[in-house]
This record gives sequence, C-alpha cells and structure tokens, in this order.
Amino acid sequence: MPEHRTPETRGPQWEPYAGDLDRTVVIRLTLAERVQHIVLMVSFTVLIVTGVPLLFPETPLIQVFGGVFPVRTFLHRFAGTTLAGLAAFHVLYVLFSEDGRRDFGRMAPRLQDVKDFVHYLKYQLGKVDEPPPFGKFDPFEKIEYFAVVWGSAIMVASGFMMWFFEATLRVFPKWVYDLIVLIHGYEALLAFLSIILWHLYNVHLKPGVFPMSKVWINGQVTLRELKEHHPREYQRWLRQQRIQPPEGDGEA
Amino acid sequence: MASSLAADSAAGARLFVDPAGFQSSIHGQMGFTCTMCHQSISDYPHERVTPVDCGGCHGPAKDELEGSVHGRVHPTSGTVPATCADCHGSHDIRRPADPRSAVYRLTQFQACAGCHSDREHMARFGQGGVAAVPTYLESVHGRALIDKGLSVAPVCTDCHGQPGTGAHEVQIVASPASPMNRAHVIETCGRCHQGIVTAYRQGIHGRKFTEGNTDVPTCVDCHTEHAIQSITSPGSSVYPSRVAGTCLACHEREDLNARYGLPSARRQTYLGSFHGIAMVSGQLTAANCESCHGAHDIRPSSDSTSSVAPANLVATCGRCHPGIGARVTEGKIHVASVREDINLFAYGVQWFYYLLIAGIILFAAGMIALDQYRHRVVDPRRRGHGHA
Repeated sequence: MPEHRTPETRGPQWEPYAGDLDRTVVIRLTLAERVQHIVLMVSFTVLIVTGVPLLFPETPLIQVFGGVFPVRTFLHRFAGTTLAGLAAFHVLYVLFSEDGRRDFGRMAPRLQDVKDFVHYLKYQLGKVDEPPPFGKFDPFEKIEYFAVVWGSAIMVASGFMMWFFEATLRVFPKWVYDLIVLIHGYEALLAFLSIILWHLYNVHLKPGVFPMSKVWINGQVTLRELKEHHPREYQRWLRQQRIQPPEGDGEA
Repeated sequence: MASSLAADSAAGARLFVDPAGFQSSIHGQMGFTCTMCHQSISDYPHERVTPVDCGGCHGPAKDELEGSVHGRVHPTSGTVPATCADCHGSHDIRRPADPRSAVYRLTQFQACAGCHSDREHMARFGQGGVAAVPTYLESVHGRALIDKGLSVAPVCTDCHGQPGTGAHEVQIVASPASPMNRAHVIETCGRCHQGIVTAYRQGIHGRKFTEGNTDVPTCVDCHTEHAIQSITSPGSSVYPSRVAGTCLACHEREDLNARYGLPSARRQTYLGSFHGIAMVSGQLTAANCESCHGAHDIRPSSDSTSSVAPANLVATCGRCHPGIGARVTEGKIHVASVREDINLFAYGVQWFYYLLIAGIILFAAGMIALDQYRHRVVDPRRRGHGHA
C-alpha cells in the first residue's frame, strides 16, 4: 500500500489500524437515507418514463402511451406527489434527525472542495500518487445532491402548477404558464441526462464498482473503500474509534 | 318470323312472358294488353318487337331521362347508358312504393349497383369507380337504411336526383345541374340537415362559400361523400382522433394559409400540445379542433362571437376545465409551439437549458474519459512499478 500522507491525514495518526480493512464495514447511508434513496429512484424513474416521451410528440416514442394515456397521467401525478412528499420528509430529516443534520453538515460546500477537485484531476492524470482527501461526500456528490434538491424543487413546483393549471392561470398569465411548461420539460431532460451519464457511471458503472455498488441497498462500505475514496472521513472514523472504542460497526 | 324466333331462342333471348309476373305488375293489374306497349305488333305471328316507347304514357319522365346522364347518348360508347327498363324492369314493373319494385326505396341501391358496381360495364362509359354503392352501404346513411330500416335515410336518388322529380334527372357531379355539384351540395344536404346548414352559413366557411369562394369546404370535404360516417364511428373523418387530419388537409397547406393570412404550424402546435399528445395516445376526451373552434359555424378569433375570441376563451376552455383562470387569454395559444414561441423569456429559458445540458454532457463525458484514462493508462503503469 502506498502511504498517503497529505497535510490532511497528518497530525495525530491512528494508523495503522489494527483491524482488517476489508472486513470492517462502516455505515455510509443510514436506513432512513436508503429508504429515501429508493423512493427517489422509483418515483424518478416513473416520472421520466411517463414524462420524457411527451417532449418528443412527433417521434414514435409517444406511441408507448397508445391507449393508456390517462394511466400515464395518473402515474406521473402519483409519482410526482410521492416525490413532493419525499422532499418534505427530507427537509424534516435534515432539520430534526441527528443523522440527517450531521450528513447535511458534511454536504455543505467548502473551499476545500475546490482544492480537492484540482487534486482529483491531478490524481486521475497520474500526476500525484495520493488520492484526493475527500470527506464523506466528494465535491461531485455535493453538486449532485444540491442539483437534486434544486431540481426537485423546480419540478415539484412547476409540476403542481401544471397539474392545477386552472388555478395557476388565475394568478399567472398564459405566457408565464408556457414558460413553466418549458422549464418543466428542460429540467426533466437535464435531470434524466445527469442521472444516466453522471450518477450511474460514477456510482455503479465505473471500473472497480461495475456492475453495481450495493451501498444503496445495505448502506455499507468497507474501511478500505473508505480509506481510498474518502480518506478524510476514514481519519475521522479512526479518531472516533479512539475516543469511543469499537463496538462493531461504526458510523461514518 | 320462324327464323327470327329460332335465332332468338338459340341466343337465349327471352321468348316468353311470365303471365303471373305480368299479372301482378302495375300494368297487368291495370288490365294492360300486350299491344298497348308493344305497339308495333298488329298480327300473329309478329315481327321482331321494336323497343317500347314508355314516353307515350310517361312523357315527362321520358323527357327528364333524356336530359340526364343516363338518357343521353354517351359520346364515346355511342350508347344510352340506361333505359327505363334498366332500372324499372319490363313486364314486372311495379309502383316505386311497392316493396317488390326494382326501384323501391329500401332496395333501390341494388338497381343502381347492377351497373355501378360492374367494373366492365362502367368502363364502357369511361368510369373507373365502382365503390360508390358498397361504401354507401357501410356509411351512416346506408346503415340507417339497411340496419335500421329507416325509410327516411337517403338513397342514391335523394342526393343525385333532382328534388321533386327524383331519379330521372341524374347528372354527373361535375355538371352544374347535379344536386351534388359544389354549387348545390350545401342545399342538397340541407334538405335533411337544415339546422346544420343554417349553422354552416353563419360560420366563416359558409359565409365565404356564399361569397363564391372555391377554397372553403362544403359538407363533403369534411364528411366525405358515399362513405360518410357518424361522428361516433371511429372510421369517421370527423371522429375525435381523425378530425385534426381532416382540418389539416387545408389548414396545413401553406398556400391557403398565406392566401387568407392564417397562422401556420397548425399541426405541430396541436400535436405538440398536451391536447394533441393525449389525443394521439388515444385519449379521445382530449380537445380536438372542434372542441374549441366548433364545427359547422366555425368563426375566426377576430369575430367577437367566435368560441376562440379572447373574450370567450374562459368560457370555451371552461367547458372542459371549470374554473380556469382568466389569465389564460394573456398569451399565445396554438400559434407557435411552446418551444418556438418568439418570446424573450422563452428564448432565454431555452438557451439557459441548452447550455446547461450541453455543459453537463461535456463535463460528464470529460470526467468519464478521465476516469477511464486513470484505469486504463495510469493504473497499469503504476502497477508496473510494483504496486499490487
């Protein structure tokens, strides 16, 4: 193993860790987070499948709804309502649950993220040996998280305005309503492409993880994965073990 | 004479008259003798009979027939397309009101089909189409006649014959004398559909028609002719899922839109809308052209009595969307697609997302390429330096 001694991992060293890095697992996603992820994944998929074809009315894609358009509309609204409910739950989770508050804090963007990103580029190019000292959430994950937050807010708001357009048109003129429809469509396309291109590759398809990371199911990562991909979080975990001797799985 | 009888017999010509058939015919019942019609016969045995002149008694009918396409000598074939007997029969002629008559209302189509469904026969008169009768039988009019037994359902001669005198004066549709000619088709349909024609004359199509415009549709342009179907029939040209195609046959034509200053992109802006998408996907309750514009009395939005005049939009939309906000009028509807509306905000939103989406794609592709580079180039090189 190469020694990773960046300024971040220096200081009081708990290394080498006495346990087996490959057998010790830490919880990366809590059960509540995994459930939220699954609800998001399912509702997102339903929304994409029942929504994106409408953006291409002149293509054969639209034929998938032949004869079942009202079912499509129902499913889209059901999934949209589910997503809205999930968003509301997530706000409560972040505000009032200990895990949620803690993880949201680690999600906050910092100047260090910019440095980590530059480090990451150098590392990927083979210019430096040490992996970037990412915390629990790397800069990409932070961007993705806030993109989901922002995107969901836009989609839920515009979606409900389209659903209840009779009321919307009492408040907004038709041309603003048209913009809302436009935004709903483009934002959907943006979200769809981001998930397909970015999220699926980086979480599941990239070498070393392919074909699928199980974190979204069991929430677990090994200490080795933590050490390699989230070194700062690994250090934090070690410090925590020092203060609170291990009782099995730790929190990460 | 004997030789002539033998020749006719050999040729299979009818030699004998069925006495029962003749006795039950209108002429037999009236006690007609043979020679009242066959006036060239004066003795027995007789010479070959000459054609009967029905006009001796039925003068006006004969005159009407001779002025019609059926009674005039056809210019290329040199023959008369149809004589009295071709439709009415000969010795067994009955009153048209008699159900056994060849021209009885409910079965008249069979007499017409005798020639008009015979491809060879029609070809002799330069006519290629033989589908009129079968398509009529499948139409709302034909089914009303056959399936429902409606004696008021229109039969061939109701539309093609002259009102009053009926069948004898049938003309080709291209003739200005035909009730089915463009000049008369409205009033002809109006003989039964008076209320519809009244509405039509108030709409833009009807008003322009009255002014002599030759571009506007008449009844048959939207509803088709022999094949006309009820609006509830999926085969109808004005069935909810097909009405757009029918309207677009004219309203998607650039020359017509330019000539009358009509907005273009009718098809695209409807099919791209939620209404159009739902309709294409089989949701027949979604709005079609007629839902908003009306049918026979369609009026331009500039007409204050139009269902799509700005002042009436809330009421029109409200028929399906109760309580729709009044601000629905503050914007464009079905003029340009939402994606192509020439509107600074829409333009801005569009480009914002174009750039954002392009940026995301490029960034993701770049990061993926970088990651592949790491795994395919950098990692093997590092392992080559002794790493596990």
